[in-house]
Amino acid sequence: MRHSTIQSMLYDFLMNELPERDREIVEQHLASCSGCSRELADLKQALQLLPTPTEAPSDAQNEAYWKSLSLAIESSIDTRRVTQPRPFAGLYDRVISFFTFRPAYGFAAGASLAVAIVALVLFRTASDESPIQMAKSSIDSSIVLAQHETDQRMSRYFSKSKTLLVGLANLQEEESSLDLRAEQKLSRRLVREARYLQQQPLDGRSAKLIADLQKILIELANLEEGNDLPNVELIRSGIRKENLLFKIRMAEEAFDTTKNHSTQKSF
Amino acid sequence: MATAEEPSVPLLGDPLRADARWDERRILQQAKDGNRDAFRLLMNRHLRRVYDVAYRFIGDHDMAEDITQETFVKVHAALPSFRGDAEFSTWLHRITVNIALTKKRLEKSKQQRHVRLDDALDGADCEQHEALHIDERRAHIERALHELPTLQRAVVILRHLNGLSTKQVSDILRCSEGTVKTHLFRGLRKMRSKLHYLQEGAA
Repeated sequence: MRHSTIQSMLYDFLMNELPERDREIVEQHLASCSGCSRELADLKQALQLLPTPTEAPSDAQNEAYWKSLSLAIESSIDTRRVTQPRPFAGLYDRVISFFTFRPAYGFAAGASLAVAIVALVLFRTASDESPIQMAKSSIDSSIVLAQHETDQRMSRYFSKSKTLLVGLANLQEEESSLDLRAEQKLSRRLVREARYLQQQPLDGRSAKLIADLQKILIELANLEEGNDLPNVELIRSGIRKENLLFKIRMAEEAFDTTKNHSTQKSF
Repeated sequence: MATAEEPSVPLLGDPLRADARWDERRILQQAKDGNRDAFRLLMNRHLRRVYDVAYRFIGDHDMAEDITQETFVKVHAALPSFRGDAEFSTWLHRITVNIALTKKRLEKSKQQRHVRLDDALDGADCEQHEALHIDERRAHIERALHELPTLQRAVVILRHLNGLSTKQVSDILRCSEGTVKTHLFRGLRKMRSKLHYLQEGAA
């Protein structure tokens, strides 16, 4: 068995959490491998360095301290409750006002109905003149236009995702403060955009990439208060593991409509 | 006929009872419904544990107290939306770890590194610390721990200093047990290579 496989089991071996079969394999390997035995000894020493869980820092405080801390927490909860506005206070008013009839809305609704009727009449008259030909050409051109628009949106989507992921990957451990609000806002927008794109006809690779990206973006958008550090690390390792940046670069090339457009023009 | 009215919170701080787990669920539900006594009971049960996690991440009493306070204020605010997908203690740990790591990062940025960890290593101060051999040794270990990358630091603290199981740590950090073990292995190895001189000196 490879040394790396054995070494990945050493922690469980030391903690007595290996199944019997694996335990025997590790023991046999250790008997003949000095490198892995040294690794095991190092790990054992590292564990010995750590203070035992029985030394709880809280033991240093007495009962009165915990009582006063508990009271302090309750009073700060009360203070917050008084100073904070009700979270949905504005929403209620907005919902009510939406259903309140206003003359201006009535006028707007009437006007749009009139426009719709005029458009319908015009369309029917036009289609009477050359029914099949006109319908066919208009469908063809609308498909081409729609495809072009989707490609453009795909290209923009990938380009923005790339910027976001590069930024995330370059985030320094020592960076002064972690404010991911801008990143979260962008990822929410990208999540919405991806939902639109997923409804369009896509090739398999793009669909898979969008789905993979979607997971990362949703994770990022859902971080608590933008400071969910362990999860930021996990997101970053996810990006690396899936090699997402490379895939995005490839996709970006494929959907770069400005490039295609210019080559078409030159013909 | 006077019937004894059942108190809204029947269990008054007896975590050793066999049905403590069931009771916690009941207390949790009452706290979610806005029962202040239930919330207080829940808080008092977990107060020390939250403080311990915070202290181990930060290594400073005042900041650990702030984190504990902030954690419970946040828990109180977020409790109505707690769906119970995870254990309450897992959720609580996650909030504590997030707040602790954020505080630590902000603290780092202010360059107000706490004295216990850093000054102990300053060459100029070494003579003063010679007498405090055990404290110095602890400071070296704490420093090595705090220098680990975020995830490695988090898993080592939660697993080995707070004594949680690998499964609990993986639930708190929302990753697989395999990932936890990999980070544990790497973190411990890194600590050992940073601190080899301590053990060689002791030998």
